[in-house]
Amino acid sequence: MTSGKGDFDGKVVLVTGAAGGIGTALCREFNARGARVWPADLRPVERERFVAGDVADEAFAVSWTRQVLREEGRIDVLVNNAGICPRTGLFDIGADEWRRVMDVNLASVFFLGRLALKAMIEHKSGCIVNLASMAGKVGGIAVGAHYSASKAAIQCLTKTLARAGAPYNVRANAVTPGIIDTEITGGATPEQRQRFLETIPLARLGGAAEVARPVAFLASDAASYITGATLDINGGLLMD
Amino acid sequence: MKQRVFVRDRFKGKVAIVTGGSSGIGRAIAEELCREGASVAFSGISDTGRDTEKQMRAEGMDVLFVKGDMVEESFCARLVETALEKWKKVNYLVNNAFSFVAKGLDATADDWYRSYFVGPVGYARMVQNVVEPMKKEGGGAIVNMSSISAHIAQINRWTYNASKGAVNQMTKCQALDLAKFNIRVNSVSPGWVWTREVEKAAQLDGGGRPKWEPVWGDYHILRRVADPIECAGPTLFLLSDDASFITGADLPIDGGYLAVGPEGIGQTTVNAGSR
Repeated sequence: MTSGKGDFDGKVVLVTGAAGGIGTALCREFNARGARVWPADLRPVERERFVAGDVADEAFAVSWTRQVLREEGRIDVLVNNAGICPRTGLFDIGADEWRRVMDVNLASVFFLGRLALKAMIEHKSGCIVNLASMAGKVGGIAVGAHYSASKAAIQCLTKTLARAGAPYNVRANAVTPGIIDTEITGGATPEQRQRFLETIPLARLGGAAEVARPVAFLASDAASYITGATLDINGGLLMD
Repeated sequence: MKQRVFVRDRFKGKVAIVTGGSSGIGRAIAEELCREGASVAFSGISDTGRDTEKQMRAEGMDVLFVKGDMVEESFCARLVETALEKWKKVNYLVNNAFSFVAKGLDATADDWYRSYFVGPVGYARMVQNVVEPMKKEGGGAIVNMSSISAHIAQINRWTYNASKGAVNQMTKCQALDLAKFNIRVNSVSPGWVWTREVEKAAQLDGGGRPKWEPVWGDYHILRRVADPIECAGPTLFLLSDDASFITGADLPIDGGYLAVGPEGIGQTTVNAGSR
C-alpha cells in the first residue's frame, strides 16, 4: 500500500512541466494527498489553477510566483520538474540548442528555486524537490550531452538551495530517476526497450507515479531530517 | 521529542522484523511500523527489550521481543523462525542492530570480529533467512541501517566505518541478486541521532544535550541532531510501495551532513572568489 490522503492538506504545491508524464503524476499525487496544486507548463492542459508559461524565462518565474503569493499567501512546496531532452549527438548540438536545454532544465531551477526559497524563508518552512536524472551521474548515453550536464548541475544547485534554506527550516532535495515510462522514453524502439529491461534489475521501466511518490515523500514531514540529498529511483540500474 | 504523522494502515496485515529494536532508532522504527498496522518482531541483546515490548503492547501494538545476540548465526535463524511461528509470514526486514566498536590503531581481532559479525555479517545472515519466506509472499522489502560513517573518515573509527561501508556495498549486491524475487533492498545513512550512545557521549563531561547539541548539530546544515523518530519515516517509506521503483539506493537521513564539505556550514570561512 502507498501513502494515504491528507498529509498535504491545504499545502500550496507548485509543479513545473505539469503537462508531461511525470508532471501529471506529480499533480495527481499531491492533489490526492490534499494539496492545492499549481501546475505550470508551456503546453496548455486542463487543470485547476494551471498557468501557461515558459519556465526558462525569468519574467515568467517572477509573475507566476507573484500570482501564487498574491492568491495563496505562501508557497509550501516547489517541484522543479520541467525539462526537455533532445537526443542530438555530441557533435551535432548547436549553440542555440545547448543554451535552450540549459535554460529550460537548469536556469528554471535557479530562477524559481530562489524565488520560492525567498517566500519559504519568510514563512520559515517549505520544501523544494528538483528532478535531476541518472543521466546526470553517468553522462549522456541515449540522451544528449546538454541534458545530462544540466541534470548534474541541478544536483549541485540543490545543495546550494539546501544550505541557504536550512537556517529557516526550508529543505531542498533532488531525485535522480532512471528509465521511466513517459513520453521521453516513448521514442525508444522495441529493441531498445528490450535492452532496458535486460539491464534494469527490477526488470521493468519505472512508472511516473513511482517517481511522484518519492518526490512527495521528500516534500513531506516524514523527511524532516533530509536535506541536500539525492534519491535514486532507477530500479537498481545504477547503484553508485 | 518530535512527533510523526503516520499513514494509517499502510502496513496493515504485514509482518516485519527489526533487529536492535529495544531502544533508539530501532524502537522508533518498530513503533511506527506498528502504528501503520504491521506486526513486528524485534531483537535485542539485553532485557531492556522486555520493557519495550510491555510498553508497546500496552499501546495495543502487536509485537514480539526475541532476546539474543546477532553475532550468533543460530540466533539470526531463530529470530526469523520465531516470527514465522507467530505470524506465518515475513514481509519486511530492517537490519538495524550494530556494534558501535570505535577502534583504529588499537583494534584487536575481537573488535573486528564483533564489529563485522554483528554488523554486515549479521545483516547478511538475516537476509539469507528471510529470502524464502519473502519469496512465498511474492516479494518483500529490506532496509539496512547504514550511517554517514560509511561515507567519510572519522577519528579512530576503523572498525565502525569499515563495517558500515561494508553494509552499503553489500546492500547493492543484495539488491541486484534479490530483484528477481521482487525483493527490494536499500540502505539509509543517518547523521547524528540523539540515541542512548550519543547521550552517553554528551554526559562524559556532564554537559549533556544543552551543551553538546549546538556543537554536534553544526556538523549538519540543519544545525541540529536528529530525533530517532526522524529515521522511521524514511525507513518506512523505503519499505512501502511508495518506493516501488527504488532498490540498491542509499538515502541519507543526515540533515545535510554529507552535502557539505570540511568547511561545514561556513561559520569560519570567508567566501573565496570574485565579488
